[in-house]
Amino acid sequence: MGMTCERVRERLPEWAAGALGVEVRDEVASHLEVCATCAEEARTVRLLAGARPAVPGELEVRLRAALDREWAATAAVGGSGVGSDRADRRDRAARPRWARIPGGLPAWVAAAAVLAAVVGRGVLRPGAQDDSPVLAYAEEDAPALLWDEGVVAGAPVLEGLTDEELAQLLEEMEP
Amino acid sequence: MNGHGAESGREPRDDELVAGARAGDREALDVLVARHHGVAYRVALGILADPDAAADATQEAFLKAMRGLAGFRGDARFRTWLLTIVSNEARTQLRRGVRRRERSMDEVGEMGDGHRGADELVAEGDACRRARGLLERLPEKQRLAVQLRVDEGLSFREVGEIIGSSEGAARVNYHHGIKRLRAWMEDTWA
Repeated sequence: MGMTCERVRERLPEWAAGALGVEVRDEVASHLEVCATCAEEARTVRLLAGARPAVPGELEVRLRAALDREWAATAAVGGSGVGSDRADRRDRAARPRWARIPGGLPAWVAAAAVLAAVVGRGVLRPGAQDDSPVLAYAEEDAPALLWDEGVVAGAPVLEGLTDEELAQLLEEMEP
Repeated sequence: MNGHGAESGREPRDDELVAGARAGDREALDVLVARHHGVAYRVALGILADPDAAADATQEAFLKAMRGLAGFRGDARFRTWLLTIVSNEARTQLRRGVRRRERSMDEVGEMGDGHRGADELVAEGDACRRARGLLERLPEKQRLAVQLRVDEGLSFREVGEIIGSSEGAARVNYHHGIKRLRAWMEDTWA
């Protein structure tokens, strides 16, 4: 039994690319000889396939160079492998210390830090509608809330900070 | 390169290269670039219709892919994942103001000398370029569905994942796109 129109049309891209096995290719050819509609569609697909856009010759070199630069930048931070913890560490290192507050330490420590900031600097003005916090680092695992004044609140977590860094952080946040 | 495929004398699979890159094998990344930069560029070009902007989007997409390699769980094929990043990046460029360079129907009709050329191959080449010009005028999902099927031989399932639709919707987009192209070709060349 010959191929149906639907089956033939689904295979036309492979037919135009010469990627069909001999048996299927012959079946398609037989169908196209007797079906004008499919033959017309085959012509359309063949014309499209005949002018696949060329890729700029220098693009691969350009991409490698860009990846080289990124690789070198992440290598300076350490880690093992692209996109794993290298970039995360670099991103964290690039942030100010107060913005690196992630999540592993007791909640009271985080709460104390936020309280110190809020009370000490008086940045919260609950009555003002335009003081709504914005979500910062939305793509990070542990989002933090950021006010214009730069005080972090919300879901503060302190992963990656040593005790000394934490103590210094709290000290810096003192009024 | 430390790829498993290299040790066994065969070409390493994408998932092996991804694992190598994540483990710090820089050459594995180069192989992935060599293997997929062409399709990535063509997808970006299909959305942006501007070679320079497409090259920029391709570069940014590869950088994002490299940074996000840890988040690639391997549920999808690397190519599908990469092309999804590429198409998102290209659309982001469009939102930022990069304009598609679309040809008018008249311009498409004027591409080449049509069938007047004595050399049949030249005429065929002109017809191919006209068809591509018409392809650019399809709505994005139809355009990408046709392009990904015809240029890259991707399955409808993969096409659907890249254009953000089901396999069935990808199939419908493809067939509608081809149908419109046929109609336009008849109008343009009549």
